[in-house]
Formats: sequence, structure tokens, C-alpha cells
Amino acid sequence: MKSMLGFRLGVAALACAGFLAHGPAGAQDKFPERPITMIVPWGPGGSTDVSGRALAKAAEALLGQPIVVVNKPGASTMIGMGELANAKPDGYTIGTLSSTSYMLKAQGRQLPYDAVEAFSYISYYGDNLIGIAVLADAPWKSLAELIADGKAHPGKIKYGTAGVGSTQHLTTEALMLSSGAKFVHIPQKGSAGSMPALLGKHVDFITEVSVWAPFVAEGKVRLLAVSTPKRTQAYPDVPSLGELGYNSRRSLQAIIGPAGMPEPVRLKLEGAFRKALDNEGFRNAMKTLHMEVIDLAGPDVKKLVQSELQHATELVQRMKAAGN
Amino acid sequence: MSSAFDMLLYGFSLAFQPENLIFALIGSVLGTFVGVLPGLGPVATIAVLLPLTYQAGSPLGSIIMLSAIYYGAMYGGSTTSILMRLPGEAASVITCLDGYEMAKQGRAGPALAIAAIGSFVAGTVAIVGLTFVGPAFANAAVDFGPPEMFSLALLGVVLCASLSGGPPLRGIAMALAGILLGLVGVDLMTGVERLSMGSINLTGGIELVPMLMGLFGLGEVFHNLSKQDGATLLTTKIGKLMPTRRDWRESIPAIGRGSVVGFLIGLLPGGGAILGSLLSYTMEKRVSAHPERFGKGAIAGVAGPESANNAAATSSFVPLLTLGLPGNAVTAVLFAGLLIQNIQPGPMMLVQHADIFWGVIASMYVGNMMLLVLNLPLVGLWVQLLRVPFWLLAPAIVMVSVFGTYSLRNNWFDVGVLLVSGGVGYLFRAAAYEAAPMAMAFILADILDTSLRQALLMSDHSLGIFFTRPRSGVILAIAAVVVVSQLYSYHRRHRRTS
Amino acid sequence: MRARTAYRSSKLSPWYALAPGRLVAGMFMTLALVFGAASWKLGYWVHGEPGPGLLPLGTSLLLAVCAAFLYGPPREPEEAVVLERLPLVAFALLCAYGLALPWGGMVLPSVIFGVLWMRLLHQRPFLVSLIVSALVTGAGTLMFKVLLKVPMSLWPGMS
Repeated sequence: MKSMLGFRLGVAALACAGFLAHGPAGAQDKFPERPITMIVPWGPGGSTDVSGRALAKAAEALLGQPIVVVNKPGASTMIGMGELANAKPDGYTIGTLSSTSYMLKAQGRQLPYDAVEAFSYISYYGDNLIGIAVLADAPWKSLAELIADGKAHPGKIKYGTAGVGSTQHLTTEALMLSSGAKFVHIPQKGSAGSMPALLGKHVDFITEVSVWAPFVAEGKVRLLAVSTPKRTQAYPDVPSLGELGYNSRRSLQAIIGPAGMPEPVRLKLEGAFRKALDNEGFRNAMKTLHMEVIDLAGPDVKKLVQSELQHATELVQRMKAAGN
Repeated sequence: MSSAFDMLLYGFSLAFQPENLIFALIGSVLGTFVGVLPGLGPVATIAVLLPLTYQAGSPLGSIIMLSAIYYGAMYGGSTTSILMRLPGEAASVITCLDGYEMAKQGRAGPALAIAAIGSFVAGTVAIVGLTFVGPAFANAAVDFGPPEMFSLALLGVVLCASLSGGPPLRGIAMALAGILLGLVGVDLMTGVERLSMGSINLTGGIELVPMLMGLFGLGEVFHNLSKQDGATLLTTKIGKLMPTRRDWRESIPAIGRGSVVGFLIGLLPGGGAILGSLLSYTMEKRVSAHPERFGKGAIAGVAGPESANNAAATSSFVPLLTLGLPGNAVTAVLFAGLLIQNIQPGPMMLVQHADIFWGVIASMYVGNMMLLVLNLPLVGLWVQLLRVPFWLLAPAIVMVSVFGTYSLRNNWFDVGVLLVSGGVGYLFRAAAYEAAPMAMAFILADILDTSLRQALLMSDHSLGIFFTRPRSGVILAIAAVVVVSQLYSYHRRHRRTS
Repeated sequence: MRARTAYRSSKLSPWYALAPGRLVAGMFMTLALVFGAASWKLGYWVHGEPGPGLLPLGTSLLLAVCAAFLYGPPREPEEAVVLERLPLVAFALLCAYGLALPWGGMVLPSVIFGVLWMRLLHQRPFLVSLIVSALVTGAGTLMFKVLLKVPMSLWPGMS
């Protein structure tokens, strides 16, 4: 065991040494000739970090070069995304994209880079599953009951999400706008803060990524709806917002690079990262995180981002008009 | 009870498997190492090592190693605080107050030894608590909502302001400035940028660890430059390595109280080791027969907080493992480590992964023992650092701080924070302002602000919620008592001297 | 407290021969005013709800009051000390080091900084300074870059 660990540390050290001895930028058909850096604009341990690392692990075997994952957290991904946008578009610096990055734009924040055009789109890998959850002993048995109560007693029901402007928050606001119910938003400290708030009854329901999953399995928490367009395999009995006739925003996860990446290099990366989606380790990681594996080509990712951004921007404008 | 005991025995049978023993040992050594290094704390180390856990053999082995890094770092963190007034990570700030003073008096040995022994006792107490009452307590801890957290943070700020021995006004001003600086960054509730003065690097707030290393460590280096050249950072006097009988008498109760306080605080969502060590320090000062010796090298001021931060580190595993609720940055990364191994921490953990749960807990007993055996002999080695001449030590401290700061999140701006804090830390030192209240208030600012506004949203803007909820009301009453007694005792002391 | 009077008297030009106590009070006042104004702009009550400026505004006001009281003439002898030259030189050196790092990588600025520090502040021989500085830099690189695998650029032009 010890020797195995020592061996791995040695390999890692060698990988670093290889990183130092960078050769001249080679011809594109030889790409990649040296390790690739992948910027994750989140701290270690989040769903993007865990899933991104698993995918990188699977892709590096296909590319024949190590992928060094670097966490550049801060400023709701702005720091890491800014650095990626300014990196050399030679394919040796890539990164992960999450919805948060362009949601900032939808809320009118000034970004130091163009939220869509500053990047090359390599591939897609999945959607975060967002669900509306209440405690099992709560009076609401379905989303319809929750909404009816929210209409009858506006401002009585309180809900928690990861924060203002998160996909979770916008999804709930969209639900309120189209149903006429009125809930009070109590933002929590990231997704990790929402579950204790629900358990301690400091909020009545939460709209969150899969933090509720173990409690749903235990029977302590009831899932009223999920945000995916269709029902998800993991919870076949839970209706989706789409089938109930409500609009919801998706929580995207993609692999991107700086704009201006040579097409052969981008294609090589796209090929490897899309093939990596079948890797068992990656699939397991996605399953544990309750994320759906979805395969999309680079150009389609860009279209998806553009349309999500447009919808989110419209939603924020309607929210502002409604006085929120 | 007996079933918990049986399960624990089962856990021990797992923890004593040779490979798991080795993982615990590697983790403990590595943790001590990064705890001693300035900057790179347990969060960054565990994050760096996470990818290795993909292939590290058994899931249990990798989790054992990652958690050993965490409590190992809590052991190591006190070392540089005592020797160089350089907090290796946030939970050791309080240790600087009396630990460094002890080192200056040639009592670095006893300070380091008591820190190691206190950590061991507290770790053990917390593990026993974790085994038997942990899950029940964790369920109760979620009742601690925004109003209670606000009151607790307010009590923390009040205690901060009274940390320094000097005029209360200075402590209060430092605490207020700390709150303001702690509020810089994007506001969670509304998403607007707050007090970041247009800097994108500040939108995430001022990074804590570089600020601490600057305020305390670099400030001290600058301060020493203003003295005679050629002098060592401290004194050349090293003195006895082991605590005296009197040291023991003062430390043992402090360790006991610190362990209990730390254990309880660690259970709270978002509580953490820092609040635990702060509460323990002020409690020791209050119950001490010689409160005037605090800040001037009182051993209870090292024993209590060091025990508390270790106990809190251990007990924060309870909400992580039994509820799947990571209460701080380190447990959040450990959470990811478990997920990578396809283990979902949470209420089902005891059912689905009893081997992991009890294996990790048992390995903590083993790891704590390893750390004590490892750290006590190291005391003799560490105090030798004091013999290093200042002309060599000073640039080394600065350079390693810079390396360490960059390593935190690969950001040059953080190095700038370190340098500016160093300048400010020197000013504080020269002006005889104690920096600890600012550091503590800085950490508490976030809880204070978020929970204040969450609570006001919950209560439809009524301040009454802080008084009508019983736990919150009790904490506020304690805070009021602290303020009144502080003002009264200062007033009385002042009248007597003038 | 009394032990802190062991400062030498100032031989510095007047502009920075300001008592650190007053400097700190001035810093607090500046912080309070700048942050107070910023919090006012953020709004302490927005859309009928507690706003992002609520806590910082209140804190700024309290701090301004404290700073005003603290900015008085020195009442005790240890408050009358002044800043000294060596720490200021050290601070300037450190700032230059910090500015050089993003451009020059880790190694060169660190070695130069170490040499300058030991030469200027402690008058060590050049060769001793160079060797010690190189050793410390090497140890730092080994620990952080190689053992702990922190991605940092070592030489100019590698980002």
C-alpha cells in the first residue's frame, strides 16, 4: 500500500517536472505534446470540481497527456473565467463552464470578459438536477398544494436556495411569476447551507441541487418536483416542472477554452472529452452527484448557452418589473 | 450504548489493518507538516490530494488519510504561532496571544508540549463524544437557525473586543474594523458587490489566511527589525522543555473546559474551530485567579484554546458523517472526498456504510495517539528553531509566507493582501494595538451579517425574534453581562490606578 | 505595556515621523468614512427589506466615533513612539518583491529579495546572503511545487 502511494506521488512529481520542461508550441496535429491545464473556477469539493476532475481523469487517458486541474475560485467564478478568457488559445489551457458564469450577466453584472464570445466551446457533459423539496411532515403533498397555499397566504411560505441569482433562485422565481404564488426567499450560504435550514425548519421548502438526495432516500424529505425538462431516471415518481407546465432554467456543465482556439485542436479535445463520457469512473461520479450525463457537440453547447442566457435575462427583467 | 461500543470495536478491527494504520500515519505526518507551514492549510492540502484518492485503494483508507491530515494540521498549526507569532491557519490565532509571549520568556517548550497534550486530550474527548452522543447532538444542532447564529456571533464579537488587555476602546475599534473588512465582497443576499472598491479580486472578499499571516507574522518580523540588529526573533533562552507542576495545575482544567466547549461549537453548522478557541480563551481568562497574566504568557491561554480547536475539528465530523452537512471548508472538501468514493454522507451512512463510519472514528483514536507520540519529541526539535539567528529567520519567514500564500488558491492578489497586512500589522504592533480582536471579528462578520438579515426576513423585519427564541435570548443575555462586567472592571481598575 | 517603551527616538524626517497610534486612528477613520459612504450608497433598507448596507453602515458609524476618541494626543509614553527606518525599508523591499513575482516567476525575485534583505537590513556578506537565499528559495520550491504539487510559475514568462 505504502509503496503504491509512494509510486503515485512519484508519478505526480514527474508530471510536474514534465510541466516545467515545456517544449516549443508544436504543430497542431501533434497536439497535445505537454500537460493540459484545466481551470475550475470553483473551490475544491463542489459538484463542478468533483465531476470535472473525474472527466479530466477519463479524458487524459484518451489524450495521452496529463490534465492538471487548477482551482481558481472567487467572485462567483469571475476570477477563474477571466483568467481562462485571457489564456493563450492553444488548447493547453481549458476550463469548466457552469451556469453561474453567464447568470451573472443576466443579472446585469459587469463582467471583465464577454460571457459568451470570449470562449471556445469544446463539449458538454451534464445537467445538475434541481429539485423542490419539503420535509416529510410538511402539509404539502404536491407542488400544486404548495402553490395553492402560496397563493392563499402570500408571503407566509419561506424558501431557501444557494443564493440570489442562482439557477435555483431563478427557477423558483419563474415558478412564482407563472403561478401567481408568493413565497419569501431566504438565501442560504451556498447549497450546503440549504439542507440544515430545511431540517431546522428555518425555511419551508428548498429549491436545490441534490443535497436533499440522502434525506429523500431516508424518507425524511419529500421531493415535490424536479427541474429537468422530463422526469429523471433516479426519481421516476417525481413530476418534472416541464410536464407540470412550468418553465425552468437548466444548470449546465461544459468544457470550454479561450476564444480563437484552432479548430483541429478543439476537435481533438472535443473527441476526447465526449468519448470520456462513457468512462465508468466518471459515470459513477455523476451518479453520486445526481447529475445527468448529456452529450452535446461544441457548437450546440454555444447555442444552448446563448438561449439559456437570453431566457434568464428576460426572466430577470420580468422579476424586476414585478417588483422583486 | 452497547451497540455503539460493539460497532466501535468493529471499527478498531478495521483501523488496525496494516494499510489503514499506514494511511493514518501518512495523513498525521502530512497534516502536521502543512499545519506548521504557513499558508497552506488542511483545506488546500486535502484538495491537492483528492485526486489521489481516486486510486488510493480502499475508500476507507483514503478517508482515514484525509481526516488525519485535518486533525494533524490542527496539531501543527500551533507550532509557528507559538514560536514566531505566525498562525499557520486560522484556528491558531488565539494561540499567538499567550503562546508567543511564553516563547519570549523562554517557555516555548512547555507551551508546545501543553498544546500537543491538550490537543490529544481534546481530540480523545471529542471522539468519545462523537461515538456516543454525536448523532443525537447533531440533530439538535440544526435547530440553531439564523437568530441563534446571530446572537452567538454577536457574543463572539463582544468577547473579541475584550480580548486585549488594554483600554476597551481600542479593542472595540479593532473589532469594528474587523467586521467592516470581513464584509468586503459580493453580498450573498442580494448578489451586489459590496465595499470591494471596484476590484474584481475583492469581490470574493479579503482572503483570511494571508491577512492573518501578515497581521501577525510579518508584522512581528517588521517590529523586530526596529530593535537591535543581530538579535534573534525571540530570546536565545530556551529553558525547560516540559511543563512544571504549576503549569499542569493551571492547564488541566483549561484543557477539560476547552474540550467541552470546542466539541459543542464544532457541532454547529458553520461554527468551526475558530469560534471554539475564542470562547475557550475568554472563558479561561474569566475563571482564572490571575486574569491579568493573560496576554503575557498564561499557560491556560494556550491549553484551553488549543484543546478547543482540536475538539471542534473532530466534532465537526458529526454533522458531516451523520447528516451530510459539511459545516466548514475542510469538511466540505472531505465531503467531496467521500463522494468521489461513491459514498454519500448523510443519515443513511450508518446503515449503508457502517464500516466507513466506525472505521474513520476508530482511526481517529489511533491517529490522535500517533500525533502525540510524533509531536512530543518534536517539541525539542522545534524549540531549536529559536536558535536560528534573526538575519536568517526573517527573510525565510517572509519568503515561505509568500510561497504559502500563493499556494492557497494560486492568486497573486493574495500575496498583495499578505504584504499590506504585514505593513498594517507592524503599525498595530508599534502602536500597541492587539491584532487578535480584528482577526476574530473579521471571521465572524460573515455569520453576523448573513444571519442578521436571514433572521429579519424570517420574522418579517421584527427584531423581537432575537429575544423571543429562547436559545438566542439566553446567548444575548450572556453577551450583555459580558459587556457590563467588562466596563465595570475596567472602570474600577482605572480608578484604582489613577 | 511598559516594556514597549524600548524604542529609540526618531532620526527621521517629519513626514513619516507620525506617532503610529495616530496613524492607526487615522486609518480607522478613513476606513469608517470610505466604507460608511459606500454602505450608504448600497442602501441599508432596500425594497422594504434589510439591505446589504445595513450592518456595514452601523459598524462604520460606531468605528468613526471610536476613531475620533482614539485620535487624541498620546496619553501614555508608549503611545508617543514613532516609526523607524528599518521596518520601512523592509516594507518597501517586500512591496517590490510582491510586484516582481507575477512577472518574474517564483525563483528569481525570491533569490534577489533574500539577498537584498540580508545585505541591506542585516549587513551580511554578499556570498552568505546569496547562498542562504538560494537555499531558502530551493526549499520553498521543493516543498510547495514538487512535494505539494502547487501549480506555480517558477521562471519569467511561464504562466
